[in-house]
Amino acid sequence: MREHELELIAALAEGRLEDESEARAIIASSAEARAEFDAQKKAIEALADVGTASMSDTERSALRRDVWTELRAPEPAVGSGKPWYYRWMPVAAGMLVIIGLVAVVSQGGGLGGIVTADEAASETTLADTETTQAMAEELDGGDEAADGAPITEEPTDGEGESGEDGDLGQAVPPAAAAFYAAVADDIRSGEETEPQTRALETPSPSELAECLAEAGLEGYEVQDVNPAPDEGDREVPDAAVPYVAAIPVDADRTTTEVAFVGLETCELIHIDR
Amino acid sequence: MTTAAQEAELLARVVDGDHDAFTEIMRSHEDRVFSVCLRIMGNREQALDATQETFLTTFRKARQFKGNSALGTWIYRIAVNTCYDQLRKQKRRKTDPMPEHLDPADYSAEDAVDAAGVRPEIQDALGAIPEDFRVAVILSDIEGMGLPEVAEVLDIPVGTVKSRVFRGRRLLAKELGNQSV
Repeated sequence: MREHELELIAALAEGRLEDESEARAIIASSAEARAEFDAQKKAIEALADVGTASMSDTERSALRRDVWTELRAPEPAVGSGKPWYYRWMPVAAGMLVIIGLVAVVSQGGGLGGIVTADEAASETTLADTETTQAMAEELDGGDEAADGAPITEEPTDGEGESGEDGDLGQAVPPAAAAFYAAVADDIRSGEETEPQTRALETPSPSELAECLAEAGLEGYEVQDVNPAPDEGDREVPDAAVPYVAAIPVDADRTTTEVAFVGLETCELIHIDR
Repeated sequence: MTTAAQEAELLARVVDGDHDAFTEIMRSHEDRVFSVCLRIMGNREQALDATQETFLTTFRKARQFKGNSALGTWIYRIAVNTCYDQLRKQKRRKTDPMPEHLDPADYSAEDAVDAAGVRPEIQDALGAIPEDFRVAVILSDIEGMGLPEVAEVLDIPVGTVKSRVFRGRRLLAKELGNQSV
């Protein structure tokens, strides 16, 4: 059925045609048109007596009270919530201890090595604690610090700690990491410049922004959305989850890191650099 | 003074911290915002939450209103997006996205009309059709907005609105047919 015919049928069902002859002729011409008219009319009639709703006086009072209460409440400090990397700190600390032990044992060996490893572990733990404290202080220090994108707030002063994304990279299976890397390459090469929309399941832009913020990625912009990973001829590993891919707003596209956030959980799942 | 000018002045006062101006805006739009939210969410309590969030967002973004559309249209767009957000959060929490009938929030139902003020079979049928179609049908056929206004609220072309409304009605009729109404 052509668009014009459908519009005429809908207009007839809505009762807003002065001259109904053309519409009626269309309806008479096919069973499909007749069925369309019946469906439009049935829905319109069902909704006709629904009407707009209004609040009760109690609800209205509560609404106004709650809105003003909220507006008068002091704004929470931006970034006062714990950023995503807080949850990784114990893991990172543990890994640093293990790495320190392995490094020392592999170099020295024997009892002396173990003693040295303990010392190294102690030093590493201390260094990690200092880093943690520095990050906490940075967070407590005010809005400026909290406004920064967490990806760039990874520890920079600790040797061997450059693997903030490395930790995340290890968190996903190699096949999934390779898949995300391929998607990231597409984004860098400009092949994924528009979010891949799927009419009914794709989150709205505001939802995506909220999801990125939840993942600690404020200041990032969406590049690719896949509610159900399906990359055409690209094989999608089972471990890949529905994601939104984003890059820092002012980043150089060709070299930027690409962050992947799970659509179901709004948690950072991988960073490809 | 034109309505647009009045609206611009009201919003300017809101930006300047005039609470009375914001109260005036709320009074002008709260019922319709609530109605839109109620039809989309299908539940009074959730609709009240969405209405509250809509006005909080309106207040906080007052400075961003450019006057390219009517103030009401802008507020309804915020309302629809707020409802979308809340529906998605519900899905994320894996809870039932559709309303419970006879929700207790300040509602004294004595007949076969549910908390959304709609006959349950119609609310169920509305709830069964995809979100995008449902919202288009609600704005057009229940809230009585013209297709151009719906297009502005949803920020999509008028042709897309037509398509969603027609298809939404078709799906609604099918659902009602399935319920033998």
